[in-house]
Amino acid sequence: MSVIPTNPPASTPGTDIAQTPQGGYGAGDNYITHGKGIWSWLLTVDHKRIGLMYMVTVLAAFFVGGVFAIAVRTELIWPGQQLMPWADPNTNWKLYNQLFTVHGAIMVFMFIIPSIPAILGNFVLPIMLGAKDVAFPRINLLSWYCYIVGSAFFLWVLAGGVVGTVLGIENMPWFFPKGIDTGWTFYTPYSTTTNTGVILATIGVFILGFSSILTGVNFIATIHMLRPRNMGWGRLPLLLWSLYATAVIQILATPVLAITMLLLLAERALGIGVFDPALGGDPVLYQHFFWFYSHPAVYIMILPGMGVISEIISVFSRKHIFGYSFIAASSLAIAMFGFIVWGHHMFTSGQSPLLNSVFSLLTMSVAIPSAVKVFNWLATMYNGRIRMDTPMIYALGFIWLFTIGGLTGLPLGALSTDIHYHDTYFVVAHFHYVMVGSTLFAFLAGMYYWWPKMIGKMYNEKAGRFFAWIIFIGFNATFFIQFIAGSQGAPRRYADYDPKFWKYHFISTLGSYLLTIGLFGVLYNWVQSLRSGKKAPANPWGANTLEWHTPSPPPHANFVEGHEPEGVPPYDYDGWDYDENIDGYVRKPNYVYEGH
Amino acid sequence: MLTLSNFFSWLSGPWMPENAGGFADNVDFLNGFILAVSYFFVAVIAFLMIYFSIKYRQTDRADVSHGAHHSTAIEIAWTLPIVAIVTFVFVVGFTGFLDMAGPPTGGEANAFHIRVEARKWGWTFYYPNGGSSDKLYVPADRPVELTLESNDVIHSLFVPAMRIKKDVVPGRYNRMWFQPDPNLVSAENPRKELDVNCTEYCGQGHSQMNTLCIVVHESQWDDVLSEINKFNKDGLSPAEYGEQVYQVRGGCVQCHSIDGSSGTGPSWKGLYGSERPLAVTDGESTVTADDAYIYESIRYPNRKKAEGFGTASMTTYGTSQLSAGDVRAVIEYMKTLAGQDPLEAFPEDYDGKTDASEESE
Repeated sequence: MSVIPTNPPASTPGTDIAQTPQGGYGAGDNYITHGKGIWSWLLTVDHKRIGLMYMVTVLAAFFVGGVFAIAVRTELIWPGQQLMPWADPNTNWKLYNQLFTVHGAIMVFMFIIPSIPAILGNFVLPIMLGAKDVAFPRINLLSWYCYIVGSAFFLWVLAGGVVGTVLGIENMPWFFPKGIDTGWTFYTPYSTTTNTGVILATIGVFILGFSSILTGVNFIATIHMLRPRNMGWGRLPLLLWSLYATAVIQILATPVLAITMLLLLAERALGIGVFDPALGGDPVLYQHFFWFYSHPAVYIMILPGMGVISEIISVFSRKHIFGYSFIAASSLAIAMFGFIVWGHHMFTSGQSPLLNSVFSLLTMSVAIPSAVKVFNWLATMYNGRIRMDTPMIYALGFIWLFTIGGLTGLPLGALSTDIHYHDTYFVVAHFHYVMVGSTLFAFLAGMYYWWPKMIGKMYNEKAGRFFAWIIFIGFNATFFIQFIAGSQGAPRRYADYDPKFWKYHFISTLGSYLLTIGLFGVLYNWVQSLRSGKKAPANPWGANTLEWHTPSPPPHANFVEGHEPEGVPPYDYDGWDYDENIDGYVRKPNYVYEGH
Repeated sequence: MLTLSNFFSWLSGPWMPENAGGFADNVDFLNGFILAVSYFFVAVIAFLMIYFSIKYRQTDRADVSHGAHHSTAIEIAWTLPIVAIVTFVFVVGFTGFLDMAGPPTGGEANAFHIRVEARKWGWTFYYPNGGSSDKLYVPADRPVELTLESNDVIHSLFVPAMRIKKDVVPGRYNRMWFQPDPNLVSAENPRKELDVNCTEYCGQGHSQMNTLCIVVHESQWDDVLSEINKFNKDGLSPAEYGEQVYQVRGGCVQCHSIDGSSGTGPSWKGLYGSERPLAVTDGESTVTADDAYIYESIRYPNRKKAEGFGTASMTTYGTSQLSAGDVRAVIEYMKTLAGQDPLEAFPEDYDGKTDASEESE
């Protein structure tokens, strides 16, 4: 199947094969052309193809979640009712409650959690390790199908609810569920008493959870078992450290969510009392179970982003990452701390002051590894050779957003200030800065960074930079103002609000429109690249992790035949020369790393 | 005189709502300190990012920078200040929180106790004299302690101007307290209105679950107490008392109109005695809205929902929320809305459990 390159270089250890200009492989086989037809994709066990399939489906989920986000912001642009002015206020509030629930649930379970690990992680993790695939390729495919089935449940539930509410149909047929209006948190006893489709939605979450677990299992096994010669843990790229830490959380925390959802089902469907006080249960117990997963899940969302940023800051500064071991250790520290801070979601629930103070203190500790990362990134930039390509703009945007998101975590982790801020727009702004701002920016940074590798084509750099700025401005306009609204006391999840909060909501909604324009600009940028992008060189950025040692896009087996990849110092850029004919970097012949 | 503490509170000023006492001093001070820290770090980090990006911008694509890329001393040096800052933030937040846990021991006897019932979607406040209101009236000159009960799902009581919030969790009594700023009111301006919000998502009417906290000067406090007390049934006809239950104690007004307009629930206008088509027809397709049906629909709202309201989910009113006498009064009130004659007076022995004596149960 695979075409042998016209002039294969010798496979002596230490030399590299990707130095041949891409023309040498251009006519050959790559993973995209390796098989034809829909079944060659749907039944593939190639991690790169699974990564691309995740990309299409996760981006589709992002689009759907985004539509609901815009609907929510549009409802809030003025006080009163905007979305269904013809209906009575009750119907409008019902619709709003479904919209914000569906927005949150889709974005969390179907977009943010799988975004970086399942798309970028799936694609680059095995190549970074010089491996042919992940450790369990079939399980990898199974995780994608879990994602599809779980998502299908979700979309089915929400479509029924929103359509039914908009059309005013009261009794939908059984196969058309009533939507969900519980918020993505499914708090009891509301979720056990509402007549919306909680059971179906929780089944969806349950299945989506398995998708996440399977990816985590695969990543841990792959990183342990498939590292090449000369790649000790000290040469593991920082993205892999962060994906490793993420996978640990996925494996340990997600089952708790699955159990919680089962208990919720047992109470709702069978009347077994776990959370309902009338049946001898405790509603706050649900919150403990739920946040025992969902707080670590926040780190499932942010840690891979930090890994992406660590790669990009170093590559685009043309300088070895500063404090490699501290960044790697801080990923593990965040993963660990992430497990023991869940109680800070319950400071107002009436739990004992002792528990509150312990959780507050532990929460504060998360600030330390987070700050360590930011300082190390800045130290990497110091005296670098900084190039402001699109991935770097997103990476710097990430640092800005993560700094604000992190600092606004302080008053939420401290007890007395959290009592004021809890469940206000301050919290909304905070977690959007961390989850959307930071993770979305890291995701876009990573997408632009690995796009040439994944697709084999370059994108329009000018358009990429332009829309990065639009997104940056739009995002800050949308969410920064919400910090002020929340401080002033605007409660969250309100379908209608006191007119005194009008100006904050108005600016926020306009910002969200700008953000939307920027995101569609990115989509345009990518589609244009797919259609008419310039062919990408093997290494457009001069990076040294192993995925840049193979052609773009990589061949089916990841590396050209005869090339046995070995571990290299991932942040040593001396071995590459810039070749302006291909607008990329080529390996210096016979380069030997001597250490610095 | 500008002390450090004043400076931090001043920094909080543009962010925070008005300060009406409660725990605003501690919260605003700590918030100001965190703001100062945040402004500093955001400024430094943004400056360095921009400065580095310009000063070290790439001129030669082949160029590589070689510099130190590991220094344990530097890592420790920038970690220690972070540890110090977060420790300070924790300690101040913790001490402030301990104050919130309960009224000062010495003044405990002096705290004014109010029982709060939250339901979808409204509040009822019960006072020691047996009166009740849908607004929270508090005296300005003493601490107020609230005991929070929920009739259905989790709610949360938030008074932004006091910086105080507590969840109202079914199955447990949560407590909260605050001391209003006594200078809020005076003999000339005896009442001050503050916003009260529900801050735990509780369904369709969550955004409407707002009321007012009214801080009252001592010169008017006795008047307020007797005004609240009118919600006792003494001196009222059953229908008049039923209207009070509709407005305040039961909070029925949140979902049921009396002018025929459709709300979350059916309007009560002309309801009594009419034939009601049922949402789920199980044998019978209609039911007459007589006393028995109304009683059943209050105690077991999900049994026979009327057509058009099949997906509505009403709070269940057990005997602890509405006594048999309360329900009787509501039915008499509904009669007046349907042009029928209500009872003139409560029967002598008729389940008089509508007065303060019931509260002790």
